[in-house]
Amino acid sequence: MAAGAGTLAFMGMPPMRGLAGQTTGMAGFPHHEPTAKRVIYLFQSGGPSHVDLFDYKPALDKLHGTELPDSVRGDQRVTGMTAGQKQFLVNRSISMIKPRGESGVTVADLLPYTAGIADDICLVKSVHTEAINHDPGITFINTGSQIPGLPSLGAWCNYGLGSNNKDMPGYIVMLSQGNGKNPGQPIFSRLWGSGFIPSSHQGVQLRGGGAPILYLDDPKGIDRKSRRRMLDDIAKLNSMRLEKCGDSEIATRNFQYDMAYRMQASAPEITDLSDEPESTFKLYGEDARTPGTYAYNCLLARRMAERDVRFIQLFHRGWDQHNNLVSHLGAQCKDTDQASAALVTDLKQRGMLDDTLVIWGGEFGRSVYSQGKINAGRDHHGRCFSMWMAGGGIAAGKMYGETDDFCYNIVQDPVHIRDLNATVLHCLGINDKRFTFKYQGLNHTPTGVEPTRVVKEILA
Amino acid sequence: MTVYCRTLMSFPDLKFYKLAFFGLAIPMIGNQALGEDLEFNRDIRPILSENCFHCHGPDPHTREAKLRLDTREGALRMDAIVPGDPDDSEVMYRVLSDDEDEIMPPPDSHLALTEEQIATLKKWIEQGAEYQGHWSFEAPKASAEGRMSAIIDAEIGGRLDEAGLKPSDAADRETLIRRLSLDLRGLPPSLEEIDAFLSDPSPDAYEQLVNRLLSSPHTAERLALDWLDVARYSDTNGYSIDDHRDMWAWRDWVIHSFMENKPYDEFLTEQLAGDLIPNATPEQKMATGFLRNSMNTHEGGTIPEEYRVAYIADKIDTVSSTFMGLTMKCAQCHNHKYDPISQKDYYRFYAFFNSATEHGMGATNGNTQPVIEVKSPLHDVSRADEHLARRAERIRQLRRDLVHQEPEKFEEWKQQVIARAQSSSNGQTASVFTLPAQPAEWIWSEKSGATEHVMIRKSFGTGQDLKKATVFFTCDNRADLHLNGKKLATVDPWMEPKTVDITSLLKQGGNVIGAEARNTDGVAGFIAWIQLEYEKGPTEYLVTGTDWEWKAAEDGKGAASFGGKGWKKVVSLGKHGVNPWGELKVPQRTPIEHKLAPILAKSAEQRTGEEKQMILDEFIQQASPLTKRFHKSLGIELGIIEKQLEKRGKTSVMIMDSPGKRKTHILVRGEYNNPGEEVTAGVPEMFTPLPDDAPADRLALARWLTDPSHPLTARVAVNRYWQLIFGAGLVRTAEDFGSQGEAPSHPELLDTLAVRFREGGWNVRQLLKEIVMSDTYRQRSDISPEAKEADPNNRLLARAPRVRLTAELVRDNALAISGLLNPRLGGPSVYPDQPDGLWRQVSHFGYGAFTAQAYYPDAGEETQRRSMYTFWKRTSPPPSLAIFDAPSRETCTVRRLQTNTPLQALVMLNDPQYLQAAGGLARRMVDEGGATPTERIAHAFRLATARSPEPSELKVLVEAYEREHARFTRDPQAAADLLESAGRPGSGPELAAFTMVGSTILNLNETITKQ
Repeated sequence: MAAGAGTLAFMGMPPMRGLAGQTTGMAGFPHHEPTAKRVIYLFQSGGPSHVDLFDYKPALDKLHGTELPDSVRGDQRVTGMTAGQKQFLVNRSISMIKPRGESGVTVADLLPYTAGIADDICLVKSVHTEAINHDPGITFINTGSQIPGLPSLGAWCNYGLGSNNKDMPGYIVMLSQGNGKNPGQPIFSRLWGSGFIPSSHQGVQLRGGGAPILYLDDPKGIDRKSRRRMLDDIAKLNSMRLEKCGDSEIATRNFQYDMAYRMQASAPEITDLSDEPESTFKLYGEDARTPGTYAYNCLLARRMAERDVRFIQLFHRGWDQHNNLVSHLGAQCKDTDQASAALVTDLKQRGMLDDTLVIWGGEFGRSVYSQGKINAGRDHHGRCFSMWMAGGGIAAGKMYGETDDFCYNIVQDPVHIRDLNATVLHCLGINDKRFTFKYQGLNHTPTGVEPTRVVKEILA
Repeated sequence: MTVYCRTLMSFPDLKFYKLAFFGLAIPMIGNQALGEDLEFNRDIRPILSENCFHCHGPDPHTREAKLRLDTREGALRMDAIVPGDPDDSEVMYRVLSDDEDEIMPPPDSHLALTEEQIATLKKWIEQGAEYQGHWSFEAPKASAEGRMSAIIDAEIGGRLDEAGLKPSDAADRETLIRRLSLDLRGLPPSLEEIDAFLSDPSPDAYEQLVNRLLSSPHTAERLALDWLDVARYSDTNGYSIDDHRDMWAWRDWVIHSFMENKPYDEFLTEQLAGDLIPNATPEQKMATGFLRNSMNTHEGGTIPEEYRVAYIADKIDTVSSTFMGLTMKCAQCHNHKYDPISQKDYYRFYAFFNSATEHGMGATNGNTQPVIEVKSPLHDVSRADEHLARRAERIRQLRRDLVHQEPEKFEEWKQQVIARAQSSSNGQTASVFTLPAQPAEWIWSEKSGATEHVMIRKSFGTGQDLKKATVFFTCDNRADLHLNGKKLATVDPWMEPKTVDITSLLKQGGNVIGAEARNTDGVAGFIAWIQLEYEKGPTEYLVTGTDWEWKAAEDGKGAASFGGKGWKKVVSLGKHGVNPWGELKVPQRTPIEHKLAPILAKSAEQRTGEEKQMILDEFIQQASPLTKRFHKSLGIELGIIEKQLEKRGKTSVMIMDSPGKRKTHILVRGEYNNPGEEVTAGVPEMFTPLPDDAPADRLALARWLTDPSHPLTARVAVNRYWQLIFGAGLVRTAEDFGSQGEAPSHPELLDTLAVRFREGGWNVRQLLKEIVMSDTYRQRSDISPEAKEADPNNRLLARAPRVRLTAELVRDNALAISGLLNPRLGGPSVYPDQPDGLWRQVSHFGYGAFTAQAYYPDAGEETQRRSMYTFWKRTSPPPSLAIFDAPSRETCTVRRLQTNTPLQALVMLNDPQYLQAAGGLARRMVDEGGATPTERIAHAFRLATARSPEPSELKVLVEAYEREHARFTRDPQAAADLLESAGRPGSGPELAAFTMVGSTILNLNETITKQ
């Protein structure tokens, strides 16, 4: 029996699985043999500074404090925040960036743990976007358009591929707030929303405090046994109606109630860390014991990956260093560095990195010129920024793409954010342009109408 | 900004042209057996549109090989189609070819026509390849006369006959009254209403019922609810910070319009152009809020023009989808690929909206100009002011009781305070400041009176492990003290020096302390000590002396900044303790612990308002940044409500205006900063143009849309009301009547209804009445295996539809069944319970002064209003509604999809609102249901389903009751716990067991299904 089939068939949609759907996805998926079974997307909201963290430019030491040449800035759109600035002074990295490991992948001293996994990651230094502000930027990279209304990447994957876990949703989202800029820029449920595809494919938020999934906990006074009996009664009564009126949607509803009951058991299992050995907290850091922290969410991401959740996305806020660059960027790095690296290491040790794609990055980078005084802060920069990926069919210990001496313009191998998304989908066995959903007379794809390029050079 | 349509690679100019294919074939309804006559619009256009028009359609810019297949002339000109001769038609050759270079669709599109489609195409060419204009672009004609309900039955019956199907029997009266009540009012019938209908012997009992329901104000609410999706109504601004806006009076205007059954043409005209109607009333002006419901932004760094364009694009999307069923937004960046809408058409349409003064940078915490201050049309029934006053009191209450937000932290702090009070000996006073052994010098001499007003400053750093920092200062005559640009305190007169705690304001790097001082006459002096206490090491003092700087202040310039040039070293004037000022005494005060401890020892109820405030102030200062944020945020919310209240019944609504100065250009590739050819306002070229005798403005647009010759407006409206009642439109793609949309299942019926709707004065209530009076509507909804086999999606309506209630109605229904529903109409939006922290987790809570960043639930009657009044935040919509497929209201939604998920089960089982409904239903069982559990359960079952339970059903529920009763008797604590969650504090196995049964009944599929 296909969960949810009744109503959607009635509405003229192809049959859908429910939130915690069956093991198979849409007919014809995947398009090709996938290299990744699942994705863990460590989204760094606010725009982490590629200049300070990854993009190694020794030339900046000499240029530090000098005016950024007009020829470099060109006709770039600058946000309203620095458009009126009289000077655009070059500001070198506040942290020493060095080649690391055997591969020489470049990482800043601010990220010592990430430096330690340099040989496991692929650093893409030439990601770019047209957006210059947060709302359009973060909406663009997550949904393929700056204007709200389209499904998120995770929702597309969930729709196309379905869930591998029959007791948990196929797309789970976790949020955290950094200490660098608190609160960080707002985020929006559209970033994990389903747009025009059925809402059963949207990301389900797993929460740090209280019930991990909304409305998961039975109220006080109802124990598991009485809940089970109540559900049996509901199923019995529903089935009597089914016999009378022949509506298969009723069978689906019974199925979903059963699933809900199972989810009540399986979700707390994921958040119950009592079975984790001390070594886990050594690896991820002590923060991993505290619900709601980035480290805790990273650990949960691994536990979900073990249970084969298809698409796991973390949103960590606070990477918007317009001011207090030194202290705030340091705090952001401290929040995230150890746990991000731990996740990769942990997956690797468990043999899961091979088929789990880990992605680290934000909606754009930051300007090489300082906003205000030297070392005070940096404005948004979409012309180039750095992201890293690991596992799931991505080459390890590799760097891709080159920027100019100012980390300002791409000089080699540009990767538009839609190319990046096409590459993520490729690893999952999906050809982004063959993946369509018809809405308002158009065959929408996860990457929009512009051509995309799978970045084959970074594949393992 | 966004490109919606897809561009394919261009082809080399070959001897033979190629057709580009892409996309998936849409399932065709009414697919005719190939023996019959084929019809272009029904059978052929979907195949060509989906597969060919992109490269061989209306857009000349992307047309390949100069071939167009959307017109017969174009197709015949190049022998792509040779009527009557498929073998000579290039199209057939291409779709059948084996050659990779020749076949269509080209291999890289990964697509192919089905054999059936190829056969259909072939047959059509054999039959002469007749074209038709696209059906929806030609004016509808009524094909039948008589009563509309009879026409519906004749048309539906005719198609059923053709398909060899029979309509279902009429449903029984219980089913009918529930169906009608849910469809029209969105609420279940009461038992009195059911009984009255069942026992009504008059032949027109059903019609009477329909009339009664149609005139109910709740029907107006239900119709308005549908409109809110279309109009993307929301209580917040949408982008970025997503703070609140005030559009609820516009929502009330919609409800009021349906209450007075405003004709649809007026409804449309007022929303598009109410401000332009001669002698426009305030109500007509506020109706244009429809257009202003677009999201807006005030994110820092925004380039306003980029977003002003986005807001207009959103208006075009909304207007074209809502009133015309057209996907005009496809033409924002280039000509439409499927429908004859050029990019120029798009920007001529854009010009209608481009003249308004709406700015790209939206306002903060409210409405962006232009706005109007009006009374809601429902003001008297909604009692909006009383509501706002209650809300204000609620916020004040929350603010006073803030210590309860973090109970654990508060408890910890309380114990610390009490312990500190005990450890220091009782009654003794203590100083928070000790004067250093080497006191400061008085600085700044002003004997001449030349500079009465000066600035004084000093920069300083602090060590690593600073514990506490305090500044002690005074001035002759008066000074404001600033630290790092922030004003701290004022001192006046000099005999009363001030002590200020500056610990939390210091930065580790450089700090600037400054004073803006004034002298009225005679000598002037300023003196200050800064005391820095460290975790380890000795206390440090920074005192006034010659290392401080001064300059003359310029009046009118902000004193907040103590930077810039022109600073001089100060003059040291005199030692502390010497004339003329003598010695300063540090004021001693009672340690706060001694005041707080006795208050904290009392229970919360025993504390006075003043004491509560004192506790809160100190808790915020000493212990809790989170509570501090709450305090501030609640203050912002309160300020907004108080401002509202000052308006005495009026409220602000965003409206349209038209100074008409701005010129419109085509935006090349849709880019806001890339203007091309200048255009004037007008309608797409394929339609009849606007009349010449009136200005081409929004009013002309509205008149054009409602002109009898318009092919789309009436059809689209009728279709949406059909969708409202039957769950799916006659055109299932209610948002797209273009070439890519689905053809109508019953074209003649749609056209006849459209014509009659228009000719009958655009009477919505009449249209709904005729639909529900039809036998088609009154059929049973049971699904037989044969009918399911023959017509799985029930497009032919051989039975009434079975549809799950929409999100809002699922909740409204539960509230009504349980007797909790507060039926009040209109007014400001309300805040029913939702899980804590959802907004804060995504918002800018704690930063700046913005509204709607944290959710503060109402208490009492406002929590049980209809769901359409729930405050709608676009970036975090009400969770239990979103789980039942409510859209985010960020953009226009004409049709909701329905899903069936485990999260929905969790809402129904565990959301406190549904538990409270179960508790309410339990109360009703006991109070009104009769004497025995069996009677009481049957009563509840009937409240939920409008029918009496079958004996087998009753047996299950009664056994459940007995089982739960036994459990709660064994475990009284469980009963008390459950009743508390269900909002019925008390005890006893009986009510608890009925609550379990109530929850079971509310969770039945039948309870949330219209059948």
